Amino acid sequence: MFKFIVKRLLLSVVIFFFAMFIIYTLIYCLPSGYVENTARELSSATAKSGGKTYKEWVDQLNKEYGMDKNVVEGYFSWLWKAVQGKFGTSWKWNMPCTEKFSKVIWNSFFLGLVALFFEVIIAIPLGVIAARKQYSVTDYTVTCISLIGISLPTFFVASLLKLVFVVRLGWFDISGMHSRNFIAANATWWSSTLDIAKHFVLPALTLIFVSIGGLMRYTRTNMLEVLNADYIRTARAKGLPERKVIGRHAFRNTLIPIVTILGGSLPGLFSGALITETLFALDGIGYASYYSMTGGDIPFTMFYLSFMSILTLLGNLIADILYAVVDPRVRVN
Amino acid sequence: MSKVYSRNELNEKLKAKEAAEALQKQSSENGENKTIALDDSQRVKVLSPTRLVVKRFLKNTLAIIGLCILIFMFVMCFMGPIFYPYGQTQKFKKIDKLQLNYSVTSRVHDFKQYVVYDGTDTDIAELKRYLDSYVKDLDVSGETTLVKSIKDKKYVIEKLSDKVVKVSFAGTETLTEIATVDTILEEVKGDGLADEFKAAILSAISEKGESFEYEGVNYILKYPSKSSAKVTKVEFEEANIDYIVATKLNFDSAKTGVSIPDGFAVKTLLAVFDKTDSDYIANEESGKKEFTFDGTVYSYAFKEGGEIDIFRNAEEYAYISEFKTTDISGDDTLDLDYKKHMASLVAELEKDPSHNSSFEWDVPQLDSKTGKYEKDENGLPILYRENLTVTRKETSGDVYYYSGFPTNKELISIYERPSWEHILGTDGDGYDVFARVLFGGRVSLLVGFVVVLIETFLGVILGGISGFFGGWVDTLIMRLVDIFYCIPTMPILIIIASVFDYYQLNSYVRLFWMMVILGILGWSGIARLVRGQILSLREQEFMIAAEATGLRTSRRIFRHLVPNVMPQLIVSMTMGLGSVILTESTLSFLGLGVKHPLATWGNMINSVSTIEAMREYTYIWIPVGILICLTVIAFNFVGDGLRDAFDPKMKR
Repeated sequence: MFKFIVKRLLLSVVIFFFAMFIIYTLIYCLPSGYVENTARELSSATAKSGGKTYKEWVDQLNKEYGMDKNVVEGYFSWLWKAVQGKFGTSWKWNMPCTEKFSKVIWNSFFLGLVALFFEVIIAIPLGVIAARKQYSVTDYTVTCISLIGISLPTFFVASLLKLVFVVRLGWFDISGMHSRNFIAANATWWSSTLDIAKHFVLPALTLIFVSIGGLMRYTRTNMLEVLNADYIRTARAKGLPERKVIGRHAFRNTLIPIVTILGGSLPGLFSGALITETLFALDGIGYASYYSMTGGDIPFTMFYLSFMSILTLLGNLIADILYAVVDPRVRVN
Repeated sequence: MSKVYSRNELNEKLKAKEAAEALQKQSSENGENKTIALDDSQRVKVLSPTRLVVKRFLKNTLAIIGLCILIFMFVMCFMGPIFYPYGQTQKFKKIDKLQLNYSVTSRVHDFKQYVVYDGTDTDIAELKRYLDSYVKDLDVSGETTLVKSIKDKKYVIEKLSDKVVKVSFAGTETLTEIATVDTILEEVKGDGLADEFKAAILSAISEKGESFEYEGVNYILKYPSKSSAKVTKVEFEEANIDYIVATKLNFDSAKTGVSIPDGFAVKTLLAVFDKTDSDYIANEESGKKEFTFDGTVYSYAFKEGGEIDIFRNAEEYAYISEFKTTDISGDDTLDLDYKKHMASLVAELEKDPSHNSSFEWDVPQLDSKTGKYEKDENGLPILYRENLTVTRKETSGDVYYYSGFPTNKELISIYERPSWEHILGTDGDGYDVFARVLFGGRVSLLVGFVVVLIETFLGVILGGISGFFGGWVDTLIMRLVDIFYCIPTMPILIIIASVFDYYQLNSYVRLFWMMVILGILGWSGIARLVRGQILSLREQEFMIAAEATGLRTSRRIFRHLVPNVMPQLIVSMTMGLGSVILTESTLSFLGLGVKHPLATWGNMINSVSTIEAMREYTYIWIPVGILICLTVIAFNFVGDGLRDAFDPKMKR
């Protein structure tokens, strides 16, 4: 087991190395005019407040980002710094990338956590019910809802929710982290948290809507598979009450794949919701990176992309390991 | 089953059945020795695998619903634009009545200057420039004449009436210094001066005079110091030439569009107001009111409001008033009657602002196409009876009266509600929303198909090679798959799109590159699927048979293995179509995908992203959003149905 984990970990490192190389090459190949233009914009934006000049920005870019070297050398120099945790200063946010990251990451994490929690407590029971009553009205409804959930574009859900809850009912603010008349100086910890929580409702609802379908379907499919297994027939044959058959025998076995994919999605809690956060102007990692990317903030973009790659690899790794841990039938070799 | 037969009925039924069976048996025995084989179609009805799949697919209600939606979408998006009369970037305009200003009337605020003297006096420019301030000086002092000298020339500014000012050149003054005087010694130094003259100078100095006259000539005395004085001779060459006539009166010609010559205006003003003018003097004497210009005799008459009517041969020729009325466009298209009417109306309104400010008049209408006045074949404006309203406006202290009436005007019909003409209304650019829905659907579906084809092409080739050869090729390709799987798609797309933005690429070029990039980033899933299938398939007997037959490797992969992967491939392609459409619409919604003039479903929703637009124009974005959902749902339904149909074990 230990050997397996180490092997997978090493493999992940190799994959990360090459994936980042591709991303680095892509960004390295961005037309230099684009980078110079960004530098020009940055210098003109900060010129009044005595910021860096255009030349300084370009030099900084070349030096920090290894643009003056060739692709391979540049990549290694970036990687060496990245490994040391030096991702440079974000141009867009005017602070070290890691500092910006630590400021916004928890917003993303809580949003993801809330969404995942509700997703799990809604989707899994519904999936189980649908599987138990296959071909019934309930089953068709659940199937339909889950397919609709998969098919809904995030931005449309967000717009609809805004129309209903913001424009028509006026319960929430359309975007942002704080209410308009929220004054930080007067707020206690409790009222501040409450205010922020209120702004998390719609984004969380959007995320739940969009992602609930997949889990529901997955649960249903797996439950169906388990219900057709021999041991369920045996359990029924020996006269166990249906409640026990489902609760003790079927559901527990259904949990194996579900726990696996849920475990795999745990690192995803940190990846933020790029579209949702942007649409609701929620100051999370997705929102920050969206404006970094559209604004040509190379240091933060590289940081975000490497972070995302690591999360993906970590998710796969956890899923693989969990698969082996949860299901003793799976033999690791 | 549920129907309960009585015993008799049941017996009857059984008898009938037996009889029918007997008859059938007899007839088959009578047939020409027909042997029934095991594979006889009458015995065993075998369906081909394809037909089985089709049959199972058709039994699935959701899949059929999805298929119907898809067929509808395709027919709508690909056939619809052929029959739908509007294009996606066709701007709709409508002609509407708009209260537009027709004319503007005001008192003449500034003096209009007519230069009478056409010599080459360079001071005229300066005179013209300072005339207004001279008039102000006159107003302040309350006098009617003012003498101003510019260098050595003297000009007389004379107020002929409240509204008419004349500037004439009075003459040239020449100053010559002829003597200096020592006041203590009383000694006059100068060349060739008579003694009487010297005495006159000294007597003037003793009185501390500033000037004196001697033999009809003026002299000026100046005292540069206490002990000395200077004597300057002033020679004045008199002239009396009219230079400039300035007036706050407005001249209107009786004929529309004909302007009054400047010379005529000057002549009229002088004859009417200048007491030194020969015509004025003649009129004073004879009691007649007439003057001659260019050999023609004109007569004039004052009216009660101070206006002047000018006649030539008893026919009205021009009209002078304090009001100026011009067409709002600046062209002189107004007839004299209208101008007179406006002048009197404005005079009334000035006195009493509550006076009825609307009236009826025959006015030309704007041609909505050209924006010019409608004209008949003779080039004359076509007149309509319209109700005109006068409104007062004050700009920097000057008051203007605008008259206007509802004019035909071509407007872009933006945000029009759904109607029979525009099924879903029009958007903020005056485009027909439904036409854009059709064309946008085309783009969305096209993007979906092209991207999925690229993905599948790459996926099948790489997955096929990987699964078939195994070994280091497999490892290499699978690591490549891992790497691509690890690269986050959306951020990469956003970065590339912002570079496109920087280059301001053409919409179609963007579209093309977007499809290529989506395809390249998305092949890894399909490669994994194909590889997995092939790994299990290549161990089966038919592959050993294929190898034994000596088939080429490529043939074995692509003719024997890949077709067996087809079911899974088709399912994943169908599902993939939906997700690609989602990705494309999300990008377009963010303004990073297909750009504005080209419609897609995503950017149509984006165009109403502000909160006001979201509230007011729900009929634009909700139908489009529903269409996106429906299409993606339909692809998912069909994909699901196909999966169940291909592999009934999965469904159970």
